Amino acid sequence: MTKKDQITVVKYLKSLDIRSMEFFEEMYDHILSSFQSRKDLNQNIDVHLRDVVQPGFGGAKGIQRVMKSQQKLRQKAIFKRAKDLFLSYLISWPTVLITMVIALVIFQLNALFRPKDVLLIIMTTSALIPASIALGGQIKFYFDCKRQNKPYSSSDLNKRLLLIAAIGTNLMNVLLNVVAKFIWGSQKGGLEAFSSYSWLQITLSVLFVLYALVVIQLLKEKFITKLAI
Amino acid sequence: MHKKIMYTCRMSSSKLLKGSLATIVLKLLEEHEKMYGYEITQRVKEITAGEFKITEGALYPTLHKLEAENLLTTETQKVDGRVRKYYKLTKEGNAAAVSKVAELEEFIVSLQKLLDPKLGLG
Repeated sequence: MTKKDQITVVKYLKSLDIRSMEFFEEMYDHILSSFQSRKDLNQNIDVHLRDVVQPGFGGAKGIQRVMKSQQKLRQKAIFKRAKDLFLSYLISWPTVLITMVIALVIFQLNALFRPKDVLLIIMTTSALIPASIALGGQIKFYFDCKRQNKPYSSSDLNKRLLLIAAIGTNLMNVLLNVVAKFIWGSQKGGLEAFSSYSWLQITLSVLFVLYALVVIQLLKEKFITKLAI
Repeated sequence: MHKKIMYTCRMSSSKLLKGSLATIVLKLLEEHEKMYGYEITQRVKEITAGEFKITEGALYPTLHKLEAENLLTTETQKVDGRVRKYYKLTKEGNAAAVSKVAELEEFIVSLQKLLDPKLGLG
C-alpha cells in the first residue's frame, strides 16, 4: 500500500463529509484493511473503493447513513446517561443527600443575600461552567488535530456533549425572558419574578446546580480532550 | 433461470441473516476476545465458506447499536500506522450473548419442527 493510496482514501472520506475522529478512523481502517486483503493485487484503490467498499455499504449515501445513525445513537446514549445521573440526585440514596445539602445552602444564602442575586449567580455559574469546559475541550482538541496534521478536526462525542452543555445557557434565557414574561407579564423582570416565590427560587437554583453537576460528571466520564493515539 | 433462483435464495438468506446479526456478532465476540469490523465480516465469510456475507452497511449500525446499549465496549490500537477500533463484550454483553444464542437455537429448533413435522414427533 502506497502513500498515494492512503491519500486517496482520506480524500474519499472527506468527500463524503466525514469530519469527526471516531467515524473517520473506523472507516479509514476498514477501507485500508479491505484493500490490503484484496484478491486481485492489480486492483487499484479507486477501483476497490468503487467496486468493493461502496457496494458493501449500499453506496456513498449508505456510508453517510451509517455515520448519521451512529451520531443519533450516541446522542441518545448521552441523554440517557444524563437522565440517569440527574434522577440519581433526586431519588437515589445517598446522592439525594447532596441535593438536600444544596437546597439547605441556598436557603442559607437567601438569608444572607438578596434571593434575586443568589438565583442570578447560581444560574449563570451553573450554565456557564459546563459550557466553558466543553467549549475549551473542543478548542484544545481542534488545535491538537491541526498540530498532528489529522484529516479531521473534531470528535463527534465532544460535539454531542457540547450540545448538552449548552442547554443550561439556553434554558436560562428561555426561563428568564420567555417563561417569566408569559406568566407574570412584562411588569417584572424574569429574575425578580422567579425570586418572589421562595419555593420556586430554591427549586430552580437546586435544579441548575444539579444540571451543572450532571454535565461536569458526563464530561469527566466521556469527554475527549486528547487524541486517542 | 438458475441464476435468478440463486439470486433470490441469496436475497432471502440475507434478509433472514439481518434479524440474527446482533446474535452473530455477540457470539463471535464471545469466542474471540476482541475483533474489529472488517475482521468480523471476514470471519463470518470464512466460517460459512462464503455462504453468509455480512455487508458493512448492516454490520456497523449493529456494532454501534450494541455499543450504545452498553453490550460492547471499544478500545483503540495503532496498527500499520492507523487507529484500529476493536469491539469487546462487556459484562452485560456476555450475558446477552448467552441468552441471545440460546434464544436463536430454540427458534431454529422450532422452525425445523414447523418445516419438517416428522422431526418434532421424534
